[in-house]
Amino acid sequence: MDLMQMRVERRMVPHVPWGVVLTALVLALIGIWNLASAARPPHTPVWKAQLAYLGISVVAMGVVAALKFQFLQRIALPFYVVNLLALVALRFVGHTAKGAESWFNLGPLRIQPAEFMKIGLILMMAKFFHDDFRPSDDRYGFLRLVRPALIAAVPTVLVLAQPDLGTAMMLGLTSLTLLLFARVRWPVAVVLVTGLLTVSVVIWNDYVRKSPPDQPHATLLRHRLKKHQSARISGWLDPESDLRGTNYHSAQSKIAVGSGGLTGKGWQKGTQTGLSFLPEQHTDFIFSVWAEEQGFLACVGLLALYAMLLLYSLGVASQARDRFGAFIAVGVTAMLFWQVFENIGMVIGLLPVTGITLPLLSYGGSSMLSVMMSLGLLVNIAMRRHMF
Amino acid sequence: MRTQTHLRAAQVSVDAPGRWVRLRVAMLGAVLLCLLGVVLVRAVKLQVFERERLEGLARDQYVRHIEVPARRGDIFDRRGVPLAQSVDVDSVWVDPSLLTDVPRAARALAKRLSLDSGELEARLMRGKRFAWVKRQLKPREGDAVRALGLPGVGYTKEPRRFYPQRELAAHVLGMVGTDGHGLEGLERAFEDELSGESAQVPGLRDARGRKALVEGAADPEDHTGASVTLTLDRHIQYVAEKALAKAVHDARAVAGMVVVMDPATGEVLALANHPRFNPNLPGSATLAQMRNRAALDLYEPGSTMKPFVVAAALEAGAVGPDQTFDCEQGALRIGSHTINDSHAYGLLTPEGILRVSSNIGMTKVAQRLGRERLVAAFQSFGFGERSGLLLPGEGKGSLPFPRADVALATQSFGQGLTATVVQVTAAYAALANGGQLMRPFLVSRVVDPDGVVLLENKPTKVRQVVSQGTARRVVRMLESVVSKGGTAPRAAMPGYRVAGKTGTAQKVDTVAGGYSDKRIASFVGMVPAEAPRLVVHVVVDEPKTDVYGGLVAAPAVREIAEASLAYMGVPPSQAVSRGQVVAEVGREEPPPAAEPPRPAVVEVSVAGSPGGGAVRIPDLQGQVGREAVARLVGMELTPRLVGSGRVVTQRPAAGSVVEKGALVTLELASR
Repeated sequence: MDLMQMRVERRMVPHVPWGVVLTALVLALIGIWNLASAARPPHTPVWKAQLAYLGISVVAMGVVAALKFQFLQRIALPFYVVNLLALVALRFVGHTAKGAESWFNLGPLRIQPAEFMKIGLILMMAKFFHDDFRPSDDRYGFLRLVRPALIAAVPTVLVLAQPDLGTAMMLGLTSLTLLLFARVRWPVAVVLVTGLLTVSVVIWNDYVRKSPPDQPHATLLRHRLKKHQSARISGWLDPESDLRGTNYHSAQSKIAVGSGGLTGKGWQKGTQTGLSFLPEQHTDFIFSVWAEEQGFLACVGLLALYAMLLLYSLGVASQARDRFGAFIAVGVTAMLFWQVFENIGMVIGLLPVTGITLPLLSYGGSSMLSVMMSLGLLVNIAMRRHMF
Repeated sequence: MRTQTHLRAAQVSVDAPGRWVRLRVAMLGAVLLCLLGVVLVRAVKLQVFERERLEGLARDQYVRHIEVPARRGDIFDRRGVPLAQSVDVDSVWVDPSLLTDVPRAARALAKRLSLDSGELEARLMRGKRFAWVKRQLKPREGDAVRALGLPGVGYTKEPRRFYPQRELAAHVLGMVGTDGHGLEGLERAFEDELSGESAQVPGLRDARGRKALVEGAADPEDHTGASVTLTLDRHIQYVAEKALAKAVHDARAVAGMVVVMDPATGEVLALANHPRFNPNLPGSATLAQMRNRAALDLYEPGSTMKPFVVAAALEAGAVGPDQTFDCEQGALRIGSHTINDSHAYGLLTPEGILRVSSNIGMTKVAQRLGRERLVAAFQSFGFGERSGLLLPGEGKGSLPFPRADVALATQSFGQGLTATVVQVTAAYAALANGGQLMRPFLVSRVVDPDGVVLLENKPTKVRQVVSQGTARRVVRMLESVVSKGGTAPRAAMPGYRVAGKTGTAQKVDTVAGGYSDKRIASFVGMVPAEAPRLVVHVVVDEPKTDVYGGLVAAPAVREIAEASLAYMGVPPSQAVSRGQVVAEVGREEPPPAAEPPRPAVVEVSVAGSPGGGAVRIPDLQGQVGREAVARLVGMELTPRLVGSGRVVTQRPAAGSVVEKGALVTLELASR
């Protein structure tokens, strides 16, 4: 990276959004402490690795924060395209794990391009809405939304094809948030909301509606989904029908969370965690460990921390100096929010089980790096809010 | 904030986001917080309202009931001395995943525990989170493993059967096999009671179904089988076994048996076989060697049966006490058979016949009595029916009807019929007990850990076999056996009058048929003869040096009787002239020694009872709860327990005198 593209001036320093930075660091440290309990022997003690990832990520955050604002605008398109190419390349050279091609193997490192696609998409969308702005006509109709919709749809479909339902859902929801944030006309809003409702109807028809076995009703989407995806949706809808079946994760995480009670079982005392009832407990299901061992009150505390982080991020958005900055900040906030919401929603049985990490708490270098880089964008925007 | 807004107002820019951005950000923030609120509500539902149900589901998953056998109940002698105990020993297991170097740990453990290191290593490699290293360690081994200080090593207490008195009463107790089930003796007879109900102990189980014991989850003290209290007295048992061993050794015999019985109650005070075995060493004895032959196996008693024939004949009036019988100078032909005596005798009274043990004289008495009455008399003395010691496989004995003349003759001197040593002893006890046959018993109480009495044997009268007068007259006659002219002068004891009878039976040759030249020598003694407190029966199987009961078995009986009477504190017999005894018998007075039957278990209440309806509270300090309860219940006191374990305090204090039925509060604590 060209050092000439980085610049930090003294007058920027007072504007560093310490709320965002400190809240994120607190969450990350809580995450490491929690990981030390989640992956206790005989599992590898991953918290040390996570600590290293955190260090790297904080450096990355600083680098992103120091980048010149104009440089961000300039690299938005190339970064987006490179990530798209990476997603395409994944189809051919990716490493398959848990039924999905999501990783690049680079020696000991495994990189998940979808994690960085999130940033690419946010930058690209922000750049689009910035460049596209017409002060005379600041409301978007259908025609003007075709291009941003395409920008969002291409990576979403590519990720969905991996198949990674969770990340795809998150990209989709983040884009939707950004579209709604750009001033859309009423019909557009109606269509988007109707779309959401349609998805709900499809799910109801395909997974909830009961009909006699000899007269099966037509499914709208179900026959197009892979079996494990389809089964996860049904598991989400009826998690306790079969404890050891496909909805095992969903039922187990609910049991873990529920058995934690008000005050929890204590650090490293969680039975469901300790006895390995939940695979992937240190990645996707990390919240269940927290809930089981620390209890309801600590869950409220954790949610409050996330809420704080979101509000600080939105604060950055509201004070951004231009549309580009505001859209980036909103995009980062939306991405963080949907990821938290999807992940915790899945752990507590609100949403289907989709492989998605909990920002800052789940184990994983790519996840940590992408979150901290996103937060770096927020710092960057906040620091430069009065510069022209 | 306010100043910034003013500032922004001044700096108008073309792409300044303006007011709408802040509005939308606020709206977005509200929406996001609402959605987080949904998550929170869901968390409340799960963690607060559905908590119990989900906790239950969790427990169902990881808690698996592991069946832990109850701690096997103890067996005590009549004074509460433990004869068989379950002691907790360490079993060591390991969580191999916590070992840094499995092969090295396996080598170290194998060396300390004398195991094969290769096999142990393979076992540790297989078990992921749990593998037994060795079960039921010796204390020394446990210390050695602890000294290693390996991570992931755990200890679990497991009960192990231990016989603190080693060989003592081993044949009565039997033995417990490696699977924890009784193999022989009382361990087998009371298997259900001793083993108790196994506990379902919750253990942890992980997602792959592996079990992991939780250390200290099962307190074996809480789950125990019933305790069995015997009528045996450790001291008398010890004396009897020692004397029997000496007798068998001196006679170079193959085996020996001894039974000591309290004639007033039928309690078996000692019951032993020789050779002995140590039940602490599994595999030290075969099942045959562990067999309690004295109680189970049948033999032809020989001359020890004669007094019963005399008693029946006197009772029936078939013969008179002073009537004389011609003993044919040692040979009497019956059909093609000849009955022989060891010496040639002329005219003998019944007493003389018993004194010298004349087979010919006995034959003539039996002929007077007749076949039917002979068989009826034997049956009445308890032969041909199980004595009911509650031991599995106890012999009944056979009493074939003596159709032939020679069968009548042989049965009169105890050949051609079979009995167990215990049956013969019990029949003597009937003579010693004024003609009253008591049911012999070995187990006085079985008490479960809660203090509920599952089985209690009290002295039980079976029947009055002969009148008291007849019984006393026969016992008096049997005193002559130990006199100088009798068959067993070696059984005479200084200070005590002894009545008894020798037996020298021919053993049936199972191979060739008929009788072999092998003998069974025996002697039954009743002491003190004027009011017998003990019946001591010693049987020596296949003696080589001498074959006569009076020579081989009588000294052992004397040794046992002397030691036991001294131990029991029985006062020496006064020198009573014969005439006085006969006079007493003639007046049909109650026997001077007819004591009330003593309670089987509770020695303390006998020793410390102030009389009447009051009892003295024993010192229960340090006793295991159930023993204390058994003792209190035996003294007709009402125990109340607080806690579990051993007695730490008791109210009222030890030594206080209280009314029967009074409440005694015991506070228990485990160490």
